[in-house]
Parts: sequence; C-alpha cells; structure tokens
Amino acid sequence: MPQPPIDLNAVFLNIPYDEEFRSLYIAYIVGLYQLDLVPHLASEIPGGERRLNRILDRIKSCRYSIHDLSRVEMSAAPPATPRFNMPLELGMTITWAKLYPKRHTWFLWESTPRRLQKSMSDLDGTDPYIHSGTVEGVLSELRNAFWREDAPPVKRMLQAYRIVESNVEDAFSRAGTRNLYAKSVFKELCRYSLVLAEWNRRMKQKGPTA
Amino acid sequence: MPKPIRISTPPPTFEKMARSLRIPKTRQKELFAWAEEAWRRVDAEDQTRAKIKADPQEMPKNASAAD
Repeated sequence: MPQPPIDLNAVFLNIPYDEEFRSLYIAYIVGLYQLDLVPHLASEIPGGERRLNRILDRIKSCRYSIHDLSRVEMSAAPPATPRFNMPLELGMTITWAKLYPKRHTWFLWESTPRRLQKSMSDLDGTDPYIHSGTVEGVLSELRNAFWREDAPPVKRMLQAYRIVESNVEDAFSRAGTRNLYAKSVFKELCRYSLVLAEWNRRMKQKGPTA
Repeated sequence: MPKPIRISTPPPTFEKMARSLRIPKTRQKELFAWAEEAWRRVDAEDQTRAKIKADPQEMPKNASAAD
C-alpha cells in the first residue's frame, strides 16, 4: 500500500492542551522554528473524519514526533481521571515507527527523570529528554535532540521565546479566540516564530554591519 | 542520555514556509518590521540587565528596586 509523502522537517507535537502547559507549548513552537523545523498539532487537522484517523495521518506525514508526558496525571476536576490521550498517541506512533523505522523517529519528553519508569515501565531502555518543566529546559533539550551545526545558542532561542510570549495577546486578537491551542492561534504563533527565525538567518548571512 | 538526531536535510525555504502558513506579502513586510524592532528591544533589555548585574550602581534612575 503506498504511503503518504513525509515532510522531512515536520515535527508532530503530542502535548497536553492546558493552561499550565502554556509556556512550554510556546517554547516548543519557537524552539522548533529556531532549528528550522516545523511543528504540527492534532488541532490543526480539519474535522470530518474520525479524530483518531486524522491524528494518525498527521503523525504519518511528519518525520519526527515529540511526546511530552510531563503532564500525564490525574485531572483536577471530578471524577479524577488519568489523562490517556498522550500515551495513546505515543502508542500509535511507536507502532508506526516500528513498521516504518526510516519514515519516523519519536522522542519522549518528561519533567523529571524517574517519572517515566514509574508511569510506563514498558519503555525501560528509552531515555527521555528532561525539560524540568522550564522553558530553558525545553529549548536546550530541543537543541540536544535535533542537532544542527548552525543551531542558534539557547540564549538567542530564549530571546525569541520572550518576544513571542509577549505577543500572545496580539495572536488572540488576530485569531478572534483566546484558546491558545486553537488552530488559528497556533498558526499565529508559528508566523511570529518563523519570521523571528528567518530574520536571524538573514542577519547572519549579512554578517556584522559595523 | 538519549541519542540526538543530526538534522542534515536543508531547511525549507522561507517562501515555502510562508506559503504553508498563508502569510501574504504585505503581512510578511509587517512581520519583518516587527521582528527587527523586537530583536532590537530584547537585545537592548539584555544589555541593560547585564550592565546592572555587573555594576548595580549603574541602575537607570527611572528603574525602581522592585523592577
């Protein structure tokens, strides 16, 4: 059966869609653009077909995926229920990558080193990237995971993060919604992040002006 | 320590990425002007911070201790 084309720079983000994750979510978007990679979310996919099929199609079209399990925990609102969407999407991805290892590579991300051993001992032997729940942690681990010779320093990536973070309100007003994870807001954040990265690249090519 | 992936594929061109994000030419112009100003601002902020850190006496007169 023919497989869909893969976008070699695309990264599927399997992350929690909640307010507490806001800064790390923005850090992933900004950081990936700084590394010339393009983030994708499940919420980008238009409706119609069954959600799970759409998510799998998106994973299949991306060369990489990041599965951030740092917020796999019991929901605060009753009834207390564990959040299983992220592990479910991780399971789908692992199967896909097992079948087609040249088409997909996945990465696990956690906030602390020992959580994964406790929550998913079947993944023993898989080392997660540890972001310690911080923006700097996400950015420096992205740089470690996706190694590029000409990657910008973490300090520059942090500056880009600060700029995008200070423009979230503008993104909300342009998108006409305050849902940070809505497709329209995500796209706005991508536009800011892309142009900041491109501006840097152009300045680097120009060289020092003094 | 997880094994890093060495990214060797050339990045997609800006034009290609701008098309996929549906950024029209006029918005691109606006965004580049915004980016230039934003980078200039954060660089200036960081320089000021570094100076204050190196020599707290140099804190600008309009900056309060709570800043």
